[in-house]
Amino acid sequence: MTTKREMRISVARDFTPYPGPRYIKQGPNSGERFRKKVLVPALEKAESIVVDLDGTTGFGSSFLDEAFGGLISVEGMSRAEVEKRIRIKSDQDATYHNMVWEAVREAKTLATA
Amino acid sequence: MQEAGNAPVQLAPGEAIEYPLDGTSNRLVIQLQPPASHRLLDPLIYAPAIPGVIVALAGLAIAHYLTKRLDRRREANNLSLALQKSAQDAAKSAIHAWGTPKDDARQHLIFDVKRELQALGIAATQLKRRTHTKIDVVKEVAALRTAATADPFEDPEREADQGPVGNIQSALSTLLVAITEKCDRYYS
Repeated sequence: MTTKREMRISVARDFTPYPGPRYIKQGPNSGERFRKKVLVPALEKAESIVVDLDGTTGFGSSFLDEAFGGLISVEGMSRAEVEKRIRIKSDQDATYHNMVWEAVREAKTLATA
Repeated sequence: MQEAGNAPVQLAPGEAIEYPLDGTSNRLVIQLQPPASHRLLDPLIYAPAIPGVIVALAGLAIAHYLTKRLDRRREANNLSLALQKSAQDAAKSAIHAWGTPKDDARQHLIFDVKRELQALGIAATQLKRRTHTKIDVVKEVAALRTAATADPFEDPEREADQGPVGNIQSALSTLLVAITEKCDRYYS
């Protein structure tokens, strides 16, 4: 399989403008669903991805934690790999940038979870 | 200076004659000014005005700079006041949503809280950019969002819960203090 060098994902365009709760069982448009249906497949296709968080109605901390922290705690990626392969674009609200990387920093790896 | 006699005297511009010749009383000095057209083209004629022009231009430049600075500060002040109001509103909405029992209406409240927190985040981002990062409260807004929307905020099965109120108020207080302190430093 050929891999793209970089892929751009917009949460509003490629997933939903109305981000939901943490888990799929809690409701639609969850962080878990975004990770499984959008983030992980994109990481399989491309060396690096740019995730655009602009254009939604607003994220809760649990969505971001599950989507990005879950790459480490659920998908088994290393923190270094996540930091290397994912770029966050959040021009409108820079606070999301802080929250995503804090979720990545705080995520427990599968081995330590 | 030439002395006037009976013979006609020709004067060049700038030259002068004195009359009467004995110089005792009622002396009259006649001096020809250069023609007006020549005076206007002579750069030296403007020399005495140059310092005044420089002072006036410097004054205009300083006034322009100060006005711009005042405008920027007024804009930043308005943004910071709006930020404080948005933060208080968002925290109030979050506390209300936490305290609301599970039903369909709570989903709308949760949606509103996330929308208000995003508006707060956008305002904080704008304030940071317009003040060249001198008023940067992005980290504090992120902390308020974490306190307001932490698990199990969006869990449809959770009961009304006043537990997180303390954390929300603490994060709000930290944010308001940060805005006030950074604004004071910026304006001083």
